[in-house]
Amino acid sequence: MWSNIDLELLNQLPKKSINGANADSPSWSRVASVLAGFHQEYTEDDWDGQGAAAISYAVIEWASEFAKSLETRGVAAPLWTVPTFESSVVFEWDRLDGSSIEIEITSSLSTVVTEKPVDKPLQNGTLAGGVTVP
Amino acid sequence: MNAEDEPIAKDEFVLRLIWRDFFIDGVPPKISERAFRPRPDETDGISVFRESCLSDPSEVLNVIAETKREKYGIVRLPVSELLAMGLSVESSKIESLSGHAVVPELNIVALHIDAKQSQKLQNALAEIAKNNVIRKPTS
Repeated sequence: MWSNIDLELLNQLPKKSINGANADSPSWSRVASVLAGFHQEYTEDDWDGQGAAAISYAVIEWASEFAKSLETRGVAAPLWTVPTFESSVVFEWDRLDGSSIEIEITSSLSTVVTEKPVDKPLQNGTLAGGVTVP
Repeated sequence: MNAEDEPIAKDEFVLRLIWRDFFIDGVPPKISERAFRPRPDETDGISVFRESCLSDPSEVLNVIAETKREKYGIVRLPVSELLAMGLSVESSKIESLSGHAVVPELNIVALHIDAKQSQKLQNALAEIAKNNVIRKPTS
């Protein structure tokens, strides 16, 4: 499904560290576990007790496949794997220079990349030539 | 305790509910800026609660469905720090709990108009919040 992830995007994501991982480092197994939990908890309306709209199975599956694909390409696990109130799933990585990058799998199964430089003047938008939705 | 009709003073604190996925335990804990992102229906600003209007901070959980309460943490934000960031806090009464207020600058319309600025503010609030956690999510 994600065999054609854009190389430009891959190059922006932190890579797995051979020696830098410790018990507190994010892991892909944790990401998989978190996403499995999303199936249980976030696929019905009002999942947060404050009226949040459900996240579709398709979005969660899409996010899971995307995560697997990133893992196999040597990308480090994201620090954050979160549901949103817009029925999407977001992955976010902190980078060594203090900046961060976020990838959102939207409810329409598109992918939006947001870079957050250190001083936080953000540049929003889908990456040019970015992930191709099959 | 203050009555909620009293003006909001600079030396007050406001409380914010944090959904568990936006919280990573640690010293200090990490809090995602998404914890301060306006919901699609928050046209008037994100919700906070004046601590001075409550007898105990955990009362804020009363606005949440009972089965979901353990999935929320609570952080305390000094009003003075919000003001220093150029934010404001305005009373916004609700029936279920005294002391409800909003941060008008962080509303869903402003997010769509200037996502960059909104995310900058969300991030700044998350930084303040991580050192002011008074309850962690328990589930």
